[in-house]
Amino acid sequence: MPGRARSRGRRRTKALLALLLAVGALGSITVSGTYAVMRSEETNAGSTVSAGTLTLGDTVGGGTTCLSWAAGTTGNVNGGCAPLVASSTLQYPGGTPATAEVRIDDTGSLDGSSLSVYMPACAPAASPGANANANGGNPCAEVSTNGTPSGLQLTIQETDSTWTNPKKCWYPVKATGACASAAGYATKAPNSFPLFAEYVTSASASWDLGKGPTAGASRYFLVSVLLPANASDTLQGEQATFDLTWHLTS
Amino acid sequence: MTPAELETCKTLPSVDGAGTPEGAGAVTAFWGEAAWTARDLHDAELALLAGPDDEPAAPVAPPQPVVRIRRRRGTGKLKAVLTLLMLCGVLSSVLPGTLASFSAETANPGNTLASGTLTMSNTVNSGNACFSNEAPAADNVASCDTAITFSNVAPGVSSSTATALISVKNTGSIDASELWLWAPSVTPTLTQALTQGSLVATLHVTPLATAVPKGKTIVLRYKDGGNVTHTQTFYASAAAAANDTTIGVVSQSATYSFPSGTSATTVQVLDCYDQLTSGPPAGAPNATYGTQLNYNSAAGNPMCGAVLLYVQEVTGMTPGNPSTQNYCWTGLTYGNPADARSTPAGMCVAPISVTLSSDVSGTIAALPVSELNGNIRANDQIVVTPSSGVPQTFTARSDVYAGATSIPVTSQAVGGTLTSGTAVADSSTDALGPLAKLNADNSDTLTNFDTLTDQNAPLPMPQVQANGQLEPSTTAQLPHDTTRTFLVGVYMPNPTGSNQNPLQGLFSTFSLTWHVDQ
Repeated sequence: MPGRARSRGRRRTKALLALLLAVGALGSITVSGTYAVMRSEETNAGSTVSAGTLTLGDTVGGGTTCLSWAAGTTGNVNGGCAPLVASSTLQYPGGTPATAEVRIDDTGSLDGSSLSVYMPACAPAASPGANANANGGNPCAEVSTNGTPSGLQLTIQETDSTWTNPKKCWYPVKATGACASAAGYATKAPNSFPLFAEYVTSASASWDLGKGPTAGASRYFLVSVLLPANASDTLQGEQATFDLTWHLTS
Repeated sequence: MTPAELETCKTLPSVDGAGTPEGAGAVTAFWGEAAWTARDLHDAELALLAGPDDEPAAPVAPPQPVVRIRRRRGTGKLKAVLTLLMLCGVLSSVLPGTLASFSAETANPGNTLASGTLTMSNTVNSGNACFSNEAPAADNVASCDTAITFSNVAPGVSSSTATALISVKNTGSIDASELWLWAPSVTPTLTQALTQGSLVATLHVTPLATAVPKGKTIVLRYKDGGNVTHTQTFYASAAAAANDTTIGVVSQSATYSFPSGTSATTVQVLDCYDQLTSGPPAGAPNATYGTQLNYNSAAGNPMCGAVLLYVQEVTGMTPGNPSTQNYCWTGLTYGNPADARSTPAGMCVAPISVTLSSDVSGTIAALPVSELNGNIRANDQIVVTPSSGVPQTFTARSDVYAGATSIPVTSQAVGGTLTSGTAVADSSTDALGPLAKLNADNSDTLTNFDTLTDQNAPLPMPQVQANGQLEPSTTAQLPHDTTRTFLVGVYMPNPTGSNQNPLQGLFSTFSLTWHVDQ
């Protein structure tokens, strides 16, 4: 009996110690989980970065504005805008240049930092109805007569919105005012078209037209093509089909 | 024991009867028919010592039946009395003595245990401080001011950057041993496994802690037994609310059989996501905007993957006095790779976009500017662009940290007068300048920050003791009543030869979380 009592006592002691251990363990867990760590947190939520847009409108001769981002276009490039000039009026040396009024609009939210233009394609062919009399010259290539440039002329003239007040000549010489009165124009004009067609053929080799337009603004250009008075006979009965691309960067 | 019981102890008869108080039951115990005398008790003690109760008593006195009856009945009573005496003795030794012994006592009353506080404030630029302890949810977790709202951004130019100064202060009484920065993400557990090759349009997850907007990037990862991590990225096809257990995703086939219900499979919903702008920005009411265009898409969050983030510590910076504790916590740093220019310690590649603070003309050796919102390295090309007229380029003479109001430049004659307010920025054509550096950086994007720095892998921020040098990690990272200030900036790069048109009309939304621990 005493032995059993001692055994019972030991069991009680063990149970008590086990309970104490359990309480201690729980206490330590509870303490670390509940009281040991204070924390604080703040979030600067909802910051936004919004990209603007840079889109272009191209209007020829007061017609419908052609948008760079219009339906059916890809990559903000619209290759289907109206042609500048048509061959309905045949040109002759020293005659009236074929001129187009081109309005370039920045229809996006970003200012255009740089406007440029290039000619990605120019293809010669015999003029309609003149096949038999075509002289075989290439209006897209430089032509000389007796060592003197005698190819097509190209002029890009910026004006105000009325098209009547020249602001700056951009090609073939860069000068304030009208191209015709710009210094060096007379010597640079012949062959200016083929030179443009040969060397200004991509966005990376485009002809700079300066800054802008700014967002929502427009710029006005007169683009003229002319057979010079000393045009080569080889260009008789020939035509040039060319593309002109306007390029705006932010 | 009650006071009455104690009183009983006090009034029990002494064995010899001496000194007992007078009164009822004081000298004698009223047990039996006759009172016991002291002598009786003495005899009884002897009898107890002599043997059991029923043994014949020693012939001390002639036996008398009456007395014997008394003695027998009294023996049981005696035991009770003795037991009571013993109990009293034990109790008196245990209980504080009140009468029986000398005693002394002191007391430490009014002990209190007061917990400290760990709270913080967050101030964006010169705005109002936002306090964590004023959070509506009363959980010491606050949603504070938006750091950056940057609209109508063009890529790759000096104006492609926007910055904010964020000051984080410990407003509590306890030092914070740790300060962390992370991009908040949602990290539920996958509850339904994916089978490799099967089309996945819905992810089944544990209840979402917060809402998941449409378009968010969701990254699944599983590390297999061979320690190979399998990753697949999904995009939320529709918004999911907090506590939802499914997320609709843009359908795609599972590239791996991701198991569910295991921590080995992680689901990380990244913070930054893109949307299309649905209207023109302020100041350009007729301009095109994101949803009109057909060559841009928010799918895949391309702008989050392009816009760069930098966070530079500028603690102690005041207008005109750059910090001497600069540290580039995230973002591109100089020196990796090294180039012909200096490698200023603690400096992020952070462009400037400021204005002249006064007119300059003649020959100058410094440009007075508004507080720099970025950094400059010696020999960086600084361009001053009048609203009309020709831009003029200057060469920085020394490294200049954010906060400075003067840029030392190589002595140079100014063409005409550059008036106060004229734009001053880094040159976009400077091959070693910050814009060129950032345009070539595709690592420090918002997406990468989100992926690498969420609450499960936060950015620890030990204090900065000097430019580019950190305090030991054992030092409290945000002691109480201490403020640390950070220059947070974003930049939209224009990588060489890339077409950034697909980013037109997009906007990225992102957040930064600052967290302190005791």
